[in-house]
Formats: sequence, C-alpha cells, structure tokens
Amino acid sequence: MRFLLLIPTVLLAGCLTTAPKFPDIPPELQKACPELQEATQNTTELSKLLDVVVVNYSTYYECRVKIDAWLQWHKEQKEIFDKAVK
Amino acid sequence: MWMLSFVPDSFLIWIVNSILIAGAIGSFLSFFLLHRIVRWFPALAPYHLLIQIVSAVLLVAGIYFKGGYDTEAAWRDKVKAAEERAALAEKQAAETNVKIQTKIVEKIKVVKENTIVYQDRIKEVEKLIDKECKVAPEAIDIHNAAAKNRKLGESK
Repeated sequence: MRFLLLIPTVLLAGCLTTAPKFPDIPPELQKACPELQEATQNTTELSKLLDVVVVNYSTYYECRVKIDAWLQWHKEQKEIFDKAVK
Repeated sequence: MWMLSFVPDSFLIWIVNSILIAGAIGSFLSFFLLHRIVRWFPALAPYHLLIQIVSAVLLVAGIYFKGGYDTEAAWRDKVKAAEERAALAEKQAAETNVKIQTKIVEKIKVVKENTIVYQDRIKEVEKLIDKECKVAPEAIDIHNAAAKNRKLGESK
C-alpha cells in the first residue's frame, strides 16, 4: 500500500518546469531604512538642530537610493524573466 | 510519453530501431520470400501465418514508436532550450544584482561623505550660526514630531 504513494510522486514529476528560479535580492536592499533622528529637547543652539537636520536629510537620501535601486532591480529582473519564459 | 525522458536517448533509439528493422526484415521475408524459406526450413511451414502477423505487428509498432520518438526528441529539444534560457536568465539576474549592489554602496558612500562635509562645515561656522539665533523649544518640538511622524504635543 505504501508503494502506491510513489505513483503520484512519479506522475507529478511530469509537472516539473524549467522556469528560472526567483532571483536573490541584493543584501543592501534587505536592510530597512533607519528612523529619523530627534534633536535634543532642551537645546537652543541652531547649529545642534541643523546638525540633526543634516543627518535626517542624509537618511532620506540613503532611503531614496534604496527605493531607486528597488525600482531598477524590479525592472531589470522582469525584463530578464520575461525574455527567459517567452 | 514524458516518462520516456527517464530512459537514455541512445537506449531508446536502439530499441525503436531494432523493432522497426526486425519488423521490416520480417515482413519482407515472410510476405515475399516465404516460399523459398519454407523450402529450406520446412518446419516453419505451419507457422507462416503467425510469422507474418508478428512481422506486420512489429513493423507497425516500429513505425509508431519511431514517430513517437521523434516527437519525444522534439520535446526534449524544447526542454533543453528552456533550461538553457533559464540558466542564462539566472546568470543575468546574478550579474544585475552585483551591478545594483555596487551602485547602492557607491551612492550611499557619497551621501555619507557629503553628510560629513556638511557636519564639518557646521562645526566651522557654529559660533556664527548660534551667535544671533536662539532656537525656541517649540521649534524643536515641531522638528521632532515631524521626524517621528507624531502629532504635535503627543508624548514620545
């Protein structure tokens, strides 16, 4: 009876496809965007606030680089996949 | 038919050709030269009809299998081509990943370098910036709320 289980296994082997495997994601794109920083609550110095603003702007640009890279990654991988399965 | 893909090509074609050739030779001999064969081997005379039937069956089966094998070969070629395309796609995908990864690292490096330059500049002109400007605590509250996407006045 146990050998009957082999029958669907053998038959389903006919359903194997030759589609390319899903591409890996570049490691840098797997990192989440960091939180924006807060300024020290009691400071009255503009330079300290400006420093935090600059850091936050750089965080935004880092994230933007990653989003742009995600879009490029999807576009290029889709083109490669479509060409392969056409 | 796909189960034939488990059988090696060379063995399959050997079997198919053997059946076809046996059928062709058997049919030729049993239908056209039987009277001569029977003259040399009289013991075969009672089986002549059976030999003809078996030969004809082998010939028909051989032709059928030959056609089936050609179809199987065509499918195998298609699968092989698809596998080659898939392998090429995987290679291209990996290359694209390396390209994108390098690009991200380079761009983030530029962003970080620029940030250091801005921060150094702030330090250089710190006194000038702070000289005539005092930041109100409300400004800090607004900035921090915006940075954390909180409602104004809401605690951390």
